[in-house]
Amino acid sequence: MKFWRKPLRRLPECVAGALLAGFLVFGSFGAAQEEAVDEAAFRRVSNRLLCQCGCSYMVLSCNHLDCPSATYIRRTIRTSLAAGKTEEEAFTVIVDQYGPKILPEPPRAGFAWMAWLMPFAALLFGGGAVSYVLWRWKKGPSTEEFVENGDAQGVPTAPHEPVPAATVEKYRAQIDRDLENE
Amino acid sequence: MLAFVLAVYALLASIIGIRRQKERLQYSAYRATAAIWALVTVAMGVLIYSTMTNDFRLAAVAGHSNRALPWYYKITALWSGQEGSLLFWSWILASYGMVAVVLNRERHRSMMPYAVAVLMVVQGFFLTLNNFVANPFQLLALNQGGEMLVQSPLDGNGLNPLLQYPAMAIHPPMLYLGFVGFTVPFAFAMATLITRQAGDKWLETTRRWTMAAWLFLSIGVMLGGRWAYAVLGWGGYWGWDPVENSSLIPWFTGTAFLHSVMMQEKRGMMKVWNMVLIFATFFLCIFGTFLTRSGVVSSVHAFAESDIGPYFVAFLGGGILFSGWLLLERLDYLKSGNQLDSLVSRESSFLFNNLLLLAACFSVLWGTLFPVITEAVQGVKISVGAPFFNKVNIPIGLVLLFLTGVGPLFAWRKTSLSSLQKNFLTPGIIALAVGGVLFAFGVPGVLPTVREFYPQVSLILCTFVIITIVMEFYRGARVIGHKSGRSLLGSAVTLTRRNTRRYGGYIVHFGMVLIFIGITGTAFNQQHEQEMLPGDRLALGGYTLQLRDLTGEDNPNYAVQYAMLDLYRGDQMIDTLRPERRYYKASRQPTTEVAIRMRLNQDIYVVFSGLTQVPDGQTAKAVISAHLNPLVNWIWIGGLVLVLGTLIALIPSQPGAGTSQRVVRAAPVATEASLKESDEILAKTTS
Repeated sequence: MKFWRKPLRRLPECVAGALLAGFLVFGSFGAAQEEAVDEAAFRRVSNRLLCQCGCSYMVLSCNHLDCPSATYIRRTIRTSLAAGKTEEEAFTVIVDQYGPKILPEPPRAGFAWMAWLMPFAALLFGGGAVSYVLWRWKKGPSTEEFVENGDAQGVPTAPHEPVPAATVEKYRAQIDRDLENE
Repeated sequence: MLAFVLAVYALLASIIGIRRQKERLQYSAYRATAAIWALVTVAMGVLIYSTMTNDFRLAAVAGHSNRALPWYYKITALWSGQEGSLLFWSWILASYGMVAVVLNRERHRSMMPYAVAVLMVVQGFFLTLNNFVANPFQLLALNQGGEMLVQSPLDGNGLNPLLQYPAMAIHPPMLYLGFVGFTVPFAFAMATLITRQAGDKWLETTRRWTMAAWLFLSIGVMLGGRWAYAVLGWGGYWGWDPVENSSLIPWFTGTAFLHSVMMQEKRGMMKVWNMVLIFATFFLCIFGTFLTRSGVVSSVHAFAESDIGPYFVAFLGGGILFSGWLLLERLDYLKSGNQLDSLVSRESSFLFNNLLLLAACFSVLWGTLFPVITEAVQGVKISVGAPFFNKVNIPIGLVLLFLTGVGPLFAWRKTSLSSLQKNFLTPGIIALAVGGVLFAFGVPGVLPTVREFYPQVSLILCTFVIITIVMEFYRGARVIGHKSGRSLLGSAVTLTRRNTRRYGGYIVHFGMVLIFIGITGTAFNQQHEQEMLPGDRLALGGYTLQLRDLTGEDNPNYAVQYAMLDLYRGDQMIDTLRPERRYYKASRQPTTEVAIRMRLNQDIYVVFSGLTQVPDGQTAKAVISAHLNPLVNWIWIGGLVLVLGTLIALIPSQPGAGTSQRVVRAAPVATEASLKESDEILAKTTS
């Protein structure tokens, strides 16, 4: 039989029991019983707020024991909802109290817009740069041009014997293979 | 201190040896790297010994260990604190430096003294921190009447309970091996610039170093995610925490470098860009350490914070300025003959791959630093949490996933329309069909109908990429099978051995696809939290959890309380889960220990979140938080596949593997065209 199925008979287990009782007495295990509220509404609101204990998780998700931030915010949300406030009002109570730092994402207003714009601006800028680079590279003579216009560019090709397309293709395939394999 | 003096000596000896063309001085510097390693190893040994023998006179030991701590966690306590972790960093760097010198001093005589000088600058910086800023041998002392008396507490403060987890024993070493590992390619890149060597020698020399560092960093990131999942108890594995992000940021640039370096090796292109990428990766590794250690951003992972920030800022600033100047000064030596035959080519796909990886890198970096920026600019801190990172990075990730599928199938220089059709039509049709099935029916027992945009696109792309990879293996293996008479599986092994880098790379891509599948499963997570008395039931998906009992026990390290929960599917009990809550005595910190029922299709993840008193004041209710996480295990499996693929890519190719002394069996009926195609494919598999 596994140990947890046994009653607390032996001394060490009594000590464990005493410790557990201590946990309860000192209230180390979290929030007190709250008034009954719409659980789904509570979850929605607390999932829109960032815990302030430094854990980077939502108030709903923070499971730090006795987290001073999450415990207080959860209780405040429950109290607001129990008092008949709407979800939005319960949410606003907390945001008014903590300011924008409680929001998990930057608001789309003022300087905070920069947070949203910069990654996409960087992507656009980078995309432009890549396109420019490709255009520049493409502008250089391709293999066909190099071979076909060898004379025009002063490149010593065999002037009286135009290179057949099949030959070009053969060497192209060979180059591909060479490049493909280390 | 001796190691620090030797690092300064090695730096000066390298520089003077180069200037005065004195080989003896250069070799003296090389030998100094071995001496540095020996000295830092002794320092590490002494610190570990002090921890194992409970020498609480040392602040580092008293602060992060205690008598009741198991011996293996006493070793890991070494890097849980600031001082020990920086010493550990120095030791890894000294080890890398010594090995790099031993392997390359004869092969790269002209470059090596410069590389050693660069390595010694970095080593010197960390030894400065070890000696003057965060000394791991600092004694605990108390000022009594103007006299400092050494104190020795009866017991230490203990290791942070969150770090008392097996994955945490290897997660920091892996991250450090990755972070520090990029110092070697950085040093060789700098040496290349200083010596004005335009060639690819530094790439040849450091290719395996870079891959190994990338591998360690990848393992570190994965283990960090696994630790967060199993220990932090919020049901997820990646919270976009600043410290998590700091390990991911250099991973992006390192991945970009591993791809773009092929452009230089095969086409002689992007020489400047590769320099920029390796510099960025190295400095972002240092920046990651700065973020973790300085406390500039708040994080659940910032286990050690101090005032070392300014030292890192100075090192980063100086390093970036010098390397930037050097790069600009040597631009002429890095000119490459860039020429592109077609926009639809491997070259283009690499450029876009780099663009997306860097965009992801920038967005994570930007989001991580934005709270600091707003506080500096506006005086108001604006938080940036998971929703921001998800919104910005999911689209980027999906396009990257698409490129993972199509990129490797583009030919160098030019890809014809027929080739596009041949390679992509079948995977495209199958992927769309799978998408349709998922939309209409889902996957019984795994996923409901998939009708949200991102999960739908992600799973279609995952299918597409898997099929392209399988087709690549199949085509090559089939040809080898025809020619050698081997089975398809045996032929696939031969194929991989012939070009380990290429096919190892495919396996890495396959691992990434599995990781994407696991991440996509997050969209279907379910969670339910309930206060329960024994006998109460909690419904979750198709399962029911019934609280059987609350019990506990005690050991010298912690007291523990269990919630015994029986898991039912329908009326049938299928398992018993036992989430825990622990109270660590030395650190006086409570923690939760999650119970996870791991399956390939889904995890049932149960957290014993707390106890609440019922109004009678006598009885306690257990607060149970239960999560149903579909597909999450594919993330860890994908991580293992990624490791396997990288290890394969690290093995040298054996071009003639599987061809010698084999009876060649021709296909019974083979048209000229099919034979020609077979020859072409076979040629691709050999090097």
